[in-house]
Amino acid sequence: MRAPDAIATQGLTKHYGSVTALVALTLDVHVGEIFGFLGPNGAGKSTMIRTLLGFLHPTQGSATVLGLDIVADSVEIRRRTGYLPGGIALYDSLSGGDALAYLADLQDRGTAMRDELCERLQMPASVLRRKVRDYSRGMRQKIGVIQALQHDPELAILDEPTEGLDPLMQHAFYDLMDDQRKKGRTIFFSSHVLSEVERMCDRVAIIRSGKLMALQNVDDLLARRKRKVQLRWRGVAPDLGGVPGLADVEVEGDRMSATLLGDVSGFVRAIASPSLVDLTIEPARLEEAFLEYYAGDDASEEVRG
Amino acid sequence: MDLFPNAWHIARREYLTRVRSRTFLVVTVLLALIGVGIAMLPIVGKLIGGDDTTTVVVHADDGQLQSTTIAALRLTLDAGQDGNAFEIQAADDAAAARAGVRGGKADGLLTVTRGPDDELSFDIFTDAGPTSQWLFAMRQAATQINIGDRLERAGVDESQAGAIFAATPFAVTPLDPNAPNPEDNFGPDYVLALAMVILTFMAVLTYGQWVATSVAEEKSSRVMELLITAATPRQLLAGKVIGTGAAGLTQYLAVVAAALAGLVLEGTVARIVLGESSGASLEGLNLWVLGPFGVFFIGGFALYALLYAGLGSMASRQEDVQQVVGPMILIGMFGYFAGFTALNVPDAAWVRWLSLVPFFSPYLLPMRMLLSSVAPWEWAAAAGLMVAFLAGALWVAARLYSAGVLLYGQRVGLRSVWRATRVHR
Repeated sequence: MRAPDAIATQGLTKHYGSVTALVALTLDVHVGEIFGFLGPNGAGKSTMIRTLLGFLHPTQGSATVLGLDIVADSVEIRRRTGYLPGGIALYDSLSGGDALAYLADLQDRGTAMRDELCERLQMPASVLRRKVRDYSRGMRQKIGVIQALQHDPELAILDEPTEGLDPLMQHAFYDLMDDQRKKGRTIFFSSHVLSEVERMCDRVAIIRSGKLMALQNVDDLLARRKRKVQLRWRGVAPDLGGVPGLADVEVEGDRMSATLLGDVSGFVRAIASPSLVDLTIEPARLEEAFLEYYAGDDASEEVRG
Repeated sequence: MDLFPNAWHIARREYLTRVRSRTFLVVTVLLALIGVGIAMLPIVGKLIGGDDTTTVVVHADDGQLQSTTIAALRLTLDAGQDGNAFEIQAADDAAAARAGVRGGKADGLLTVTRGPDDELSFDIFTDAGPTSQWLFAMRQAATQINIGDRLERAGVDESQAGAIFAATPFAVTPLDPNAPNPEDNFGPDYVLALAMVILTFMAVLTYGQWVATSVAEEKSSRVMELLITAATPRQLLAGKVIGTGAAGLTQYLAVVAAALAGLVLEGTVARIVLGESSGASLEGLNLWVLGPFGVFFIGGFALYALLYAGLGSMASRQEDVQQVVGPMILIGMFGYFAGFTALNVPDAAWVRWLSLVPFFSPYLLPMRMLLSSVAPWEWAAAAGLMVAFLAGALWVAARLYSAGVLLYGQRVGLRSVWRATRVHR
């Protein structure tokens, strides 16, 4: 029998008065995967996360986290998960180390990973001794990440975890996530930064205005993306007439640019001639997928995975 | 989930953060100084008032008359119980004595003359106003001397005169036989009861506000979101109320201890500074009442503080705190005024019933114990209700709190609060 999903929602809907923050959201996060929850600011990402943790109660629909009901068992859910709230705030008057110890005391679930996390995120003892009020945005964020993961939770729910981290620390964080996945832990995180979703996630859900726009494997999504191709040749122009997925062809002298959708093999075969001088294939970016989903309110573009 | 040990962790942080803050230290020291200052007020009054011995010089052309007047003045003025101290001196040279009064050496020059009809007449040369207390005493003394003189001239002998001047029995019978003796009203018990009412009021308002503000602070800074993941609303509330309450109590005890120390040491200080007692003391105070008072004070404080915390979580910004805790301020004020009114009618039926209600028992019950009496069942009922209300308040406050946590930036109104608690089971 398959283990229950780490997170499973059924038609989750949340109204704030007349404002609808979530519309019939149905998704599932498998145990042991890194799941990216993607959307622009105000799309309902934080509302979704707060609902999963039981801070908000759904207007309609239901959900389970670790097999527990989000309304009835929210205390147990909070106890078993690690949570990083968006825009983390800490007590200014505590030192970073004291804040971690304080939260660990309250959670009462050990600090198995604290030292490792502090080392990997470069929070040495000298920094942990300083008061939080003297911390930079990034240092606070690191404390937030450490407190969410210090007990090595089976499921971590992270609201925009890389916000405020410098690129070096972002990479340290990505590596950390990879290692957690290898250990079989589940990570659910929200982001509006596509590159990190692309870099880290197994699957991604894209939401806009509270609606699920896409739920797909990152690899599938990338395979379906348009790539930009540019080539230059000498002599006879290659015959690209029958290449599937090629569009927007613009020729200017001995140069050509176009977009290529999906599989590249047909294209590569077509251009394989000695006259080819230069070739650029820009990697497919989720960024473009993302823009496409957000471009216009054309609901017919909705893609289901 | 169990309330403890998480509530202790929270209380500990809350307490230490507060007690270690500079503001706390400064305010506590300032308040303690004020407390000592108030305790020392009688001494300060005497110091500022300076030498309050009134010096009066007496002149009469007739040496015999002068010496008998001085003797009679000393006798009558010393017998007076209004606390005025007089120094009576003879003045043989009237002009020099006048100069002395002008120069401030004496407060007044009393000139006694016997008229052609043998009647005594008195004239006092002074700067003092007609309402001056010592002048009043002097006038009374002069009247007595004059009457004594008339009696003597009428041939009444000394023993008869003594009988004539014997004290008059004078009793006051109140309309209501149950009304407390007005003389008792300003006795030590009354003062102590008054002090307890004021102390309760100040504690509830000041430290309740602390709790509400700190909850609102955590909410507006969003620390709350992290806390509520780690602990339950009930644990957070209980911890916050215990921690803040303990910090408040620390400040309170420091101030009260300073004031009491001031009172205890006052006699010594008075003897050193003034060379005499100032008259204020702890004697006659039923200090044992502080035991039951302490119990109800802490219970009442916790009750108010819990609700302050629950309401404080409704505020999204610091500026809204005052508005949302308004109902608690009203209840606290009502207790305060009820306490004040009850001081004069500690046996009234409404006082008896109200003193069992948890919001008001800290104000009224210890006071009734001092000024009247409290039946054992009343103690039991008041204590039982207090415990029940505390449990209820924790429940209500926890609901408000869990509802309030994520009502970010929403307009605070009764309706939104009601909706939030309903939705937020």
